[in-house]
Amino acid sequence: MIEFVDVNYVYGNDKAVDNVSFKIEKGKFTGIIGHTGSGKSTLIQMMNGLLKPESGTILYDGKDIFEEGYDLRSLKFKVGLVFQYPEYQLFESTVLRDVAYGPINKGLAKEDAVKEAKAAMEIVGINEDKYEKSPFELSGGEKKRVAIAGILAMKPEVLVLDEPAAGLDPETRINLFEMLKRLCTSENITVVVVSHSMEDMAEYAEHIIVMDDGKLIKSGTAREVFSNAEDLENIGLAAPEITYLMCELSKRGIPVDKTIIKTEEAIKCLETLL
Amino acid sequence: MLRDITLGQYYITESKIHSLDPRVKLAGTMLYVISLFLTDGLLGYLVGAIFLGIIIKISKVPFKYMVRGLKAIIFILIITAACNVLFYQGTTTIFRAGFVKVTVEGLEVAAAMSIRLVMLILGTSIMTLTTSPNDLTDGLEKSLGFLEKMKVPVHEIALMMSIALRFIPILVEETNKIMKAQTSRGADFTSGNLIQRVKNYIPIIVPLFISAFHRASDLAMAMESRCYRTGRQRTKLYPLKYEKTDYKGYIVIIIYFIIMVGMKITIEGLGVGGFFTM
Repeated sequence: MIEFVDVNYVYGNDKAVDNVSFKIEKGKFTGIIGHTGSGKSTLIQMMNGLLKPESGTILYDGKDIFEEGYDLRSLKFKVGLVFQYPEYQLFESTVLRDVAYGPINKGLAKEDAVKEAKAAMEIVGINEDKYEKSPFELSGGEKKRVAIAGILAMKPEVLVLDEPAAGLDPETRINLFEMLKRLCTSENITVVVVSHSMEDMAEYAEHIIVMDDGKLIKSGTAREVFSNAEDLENIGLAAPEITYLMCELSKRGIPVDKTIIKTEEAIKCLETLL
Repeated sequence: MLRDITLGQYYITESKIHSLDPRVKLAGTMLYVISLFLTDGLLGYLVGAIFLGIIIKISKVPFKYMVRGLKAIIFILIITAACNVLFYQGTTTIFRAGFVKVTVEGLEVAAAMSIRLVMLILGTSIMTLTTSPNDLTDGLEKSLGFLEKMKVPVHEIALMMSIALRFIPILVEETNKIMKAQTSRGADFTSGNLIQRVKNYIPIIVPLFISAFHRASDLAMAMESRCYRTGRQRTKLYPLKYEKTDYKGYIVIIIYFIIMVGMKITIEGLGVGGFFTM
């Protein structure tokens, strides 16, 4: 779906992205993890053509997006990018009009745009009584969901989110990730999430990309990446808590699977032992 | 686009001009501007330009960097020059077409105005380029301190200025982020007629204002929780104090000013004004 080949990006004198190559597969839930300043945000801004790499190619559906004649604007409707702070995009007088902004830009008639907007808000769980409210009256979690709806209403094939869980309470966070998972499995949207939270990524992502200091350190299934805690610790990250617990248990002679990364799996595994 | 504006930007380096007391630079800039408006002869501009050149050299700010700031006013420059050439009511006509009349006097005034404007911008930008915004407001506050007696809230105004200056880079960065977010939703800033284009910017302006208000209220809260209060009791961590070089700076600028005024008086006294006729 999206492919990076030897991509470099330079900010002033710093190499923000250093010779990175990877593939994001269609219909999968991909997580990008790494420290602040590891180049994650730069990476995702290149996915929809906001930033142009210094060198290297970015392919979408096999086509080079920075080739002359490629329609970069229509790419933005295919690769929907949700920024970390919803405050950067909310501007309209009502929630409904704000969410319909993207579809209208896409060229839809007003009624169709409103229809898409309503459908998107149903997906993210914004009720009808909020439609006519000002987006600035909403709570933080609601703003975030409206911002996501604003992108979803454009019917993107790929949904890219930068730290979607930042600043949300645990319940809203779980709801949000469950929703993303649903989008991925039932609507067949490719989801890419940048996150700090190893737990969230272990729970939801199928594929993980690890970034450090602009370089791609690792790319593989969640289990592959997280079961090797040492590599992650070397760059200041960590495996999910539950994996550490499993390791500790197996060290003490309890026969459990050390590669478990999800709480649910751990519960099942422990239940069989009882 | 936004990065090209040098006017009001601090160029960090070490030089004699940088380390001068901001009050010297303020006074110097003021006298320099007055001197530009005093002269109208070629010789005066020449002396002004040489003086400016020397100061730029000492300040170690690359000339290229300074000229970049001129780009912003090139449009104003051309319009002023064109207006002067076309509409100045002179007597020695060179060329006439309908109500438009190009005269020697018009050309003279246009040339003088353009030179004056360029030197004005360069001269004032020397001050902002070599003085950090904080020093600048400190200098202003101290030099205008006497207004406090006339119930002018000098300290508060200076504080407002330094906060405003502090916010400029933040807001520029914020604008960038907002533009990216809206471009990601298919916002288009380049097509449509003028009204449409202005409308296209609403999705940028609204979030920008809202975030500016948020920041302002956060800052007010933070200041209040640290018990900030204005008034005469406030002391400074680094109070401004004149050094030897500052007095030298004053002497140089005053000598320059006297030369300019002297030239003006003697040339007028001899009765040979004008730009080319001198």
